Amino acid sequence: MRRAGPILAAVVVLVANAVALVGVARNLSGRPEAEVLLTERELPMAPWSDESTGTFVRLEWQRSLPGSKVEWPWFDRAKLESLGFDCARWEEEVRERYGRMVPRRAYVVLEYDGPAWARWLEAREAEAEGTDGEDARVSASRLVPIDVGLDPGELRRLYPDRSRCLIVPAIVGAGRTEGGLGGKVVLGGQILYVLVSEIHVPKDLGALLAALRAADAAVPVPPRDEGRPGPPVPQHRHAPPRYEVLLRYGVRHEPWVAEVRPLP
Amino acid sequence: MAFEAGIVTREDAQRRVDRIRAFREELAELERLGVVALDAGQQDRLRRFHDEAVASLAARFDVDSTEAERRLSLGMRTASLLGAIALSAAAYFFLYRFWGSFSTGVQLVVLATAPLVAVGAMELAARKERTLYVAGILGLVAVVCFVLDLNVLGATFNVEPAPGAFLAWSAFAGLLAYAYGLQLLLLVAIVGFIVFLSSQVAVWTGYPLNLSLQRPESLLLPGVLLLVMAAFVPSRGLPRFPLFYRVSGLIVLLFALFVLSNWGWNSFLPWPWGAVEIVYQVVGFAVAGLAIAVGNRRGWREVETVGTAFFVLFLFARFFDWWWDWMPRWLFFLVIGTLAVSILLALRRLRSTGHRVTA
Repeated sequence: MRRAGPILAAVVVLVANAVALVGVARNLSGRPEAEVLLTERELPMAPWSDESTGTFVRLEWQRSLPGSKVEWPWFDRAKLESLGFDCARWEEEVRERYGRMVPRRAYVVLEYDGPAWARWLEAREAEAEGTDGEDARVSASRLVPIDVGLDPGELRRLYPDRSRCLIVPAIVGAGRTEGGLGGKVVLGGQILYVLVSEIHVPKDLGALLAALRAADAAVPVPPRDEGRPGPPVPQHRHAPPRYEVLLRYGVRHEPWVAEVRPLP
Repeated sequence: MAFEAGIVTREDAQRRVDRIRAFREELAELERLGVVALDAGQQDRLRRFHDEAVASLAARFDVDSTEAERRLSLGMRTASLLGAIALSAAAYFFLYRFWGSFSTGVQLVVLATAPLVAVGAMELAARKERTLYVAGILGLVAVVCFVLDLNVLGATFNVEPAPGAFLAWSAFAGLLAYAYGLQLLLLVAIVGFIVFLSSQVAVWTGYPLNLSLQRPESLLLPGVLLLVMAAFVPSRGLPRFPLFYRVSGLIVLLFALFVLSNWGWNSFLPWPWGAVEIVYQVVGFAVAGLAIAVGNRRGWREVETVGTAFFVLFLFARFFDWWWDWMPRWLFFLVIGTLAVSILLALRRLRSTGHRVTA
């Protein structure tokens, strides 16, 4: 072991790198599973620090339907059960004590600038209160979740438009709302996070983003208003968007940036 | 030489040197009290024999032959650990500071080469220095470089996180640990193995990778496997390695049982949570009791300590569940205090029985 150990350790490094690269090559090979032209609204630059020189964009999608008691009305108990959530057991336990259902891995269909976006916008504009003054028509992400399932092939069969519907691996959970008649507990699904939400921009495609990043860094950040409720204001949200990105997904449902172009 | 028979590791050599020092101190005390008196020739032969033994072991294994040397060694170990952490942080920040400036091809070469260079440097350091302080530092840096390698590779190509990376890191750290006898790297390998297996259970069952925090049953398999590995993984010349497997396996196993015995809704089992908790309470007490018994019988002090600690934890959790709500606080803590003293007396009795048997 004394002599062989370092050699075997080096072999482990080489094999692990080779396995990872074969997986990457497989994802990149053949026809892309989806190819969508998005803008800065859906792919803003990820927060950066002086300690990191990598450039990433962050996939932004709508988290809930404005005005709805649950996050998405289509993500109901039946859908949760189709993903393997044991809703009957949860209901039994919640009567005795607070039960929790562990999130599960699933595939989410994100529709870009389609009927779901139109419905979302309508609901948002119908909501008199709760808007933060932002004009959703020019700044909000137009990616809206429309379905969730365990089989990505089946989801692609149901949503065949590869230039509008992304199928992305995500973690989904179940949440409850005291929304029904007489305070009845309503169970609804939640999309907790997309598994690959920060997408790397290679150096040869990142010149435009690097320039925008430098320009953004020169703008002084307004002091945070401690009295303002809710989450912190996102860094450097720009309206209208300044660039568009051709985003592709491969056979392993892993994305890559194929092109970055400035918008007029 | 005859006194070196059976001494194959630095730990063996250090134990022998410690015994010689203790023998000399005890002999001096006995002579002072007049219990024994060696003549000048005997004293001279004994002193020369021990001096030669200590000098030879110090030359071969670089053992600490005096108390001052032992204190210095401790300081060196602390410094080497801090050095390893600082150098690993330097490697991490250096890579992130500059990797955006490289093209993808250069990034791949730099990432894969960094751990290999660190392993090469480790081998060179181990050949030059028997104490392995520098080799230990470089070993930890090599592991951090390999962790960075796969992490950055995943981030560059937007790869979904997978448990296989933890297996690779664990194997890498384990191979270096066995090659150089470095316990810290073995600990890294064990942690990597636990994370890999519990995440793999998550993937098999369709849950997120960090499932072990929410479904502690995913920790049971790695815990049991570590205990099995303690018995079957060959550790010739590395007498403390099985101890690491035993103790970490037992801690992981009992921790998972403890969580399940108190928060039954975290279980995979399709039973009412109350029934799940009772089952895991029984199993938890049994495993903790077995650990105490086996640890006592085999002389595995660490196993006995872990078993006792968890047995007390299980017991206190039960008392809390049964009595906290209706018992006055002063009485509750009085009962707990009385119980702690009872356990102490029981363990003392067990210890004195052991002394009598040894005598």
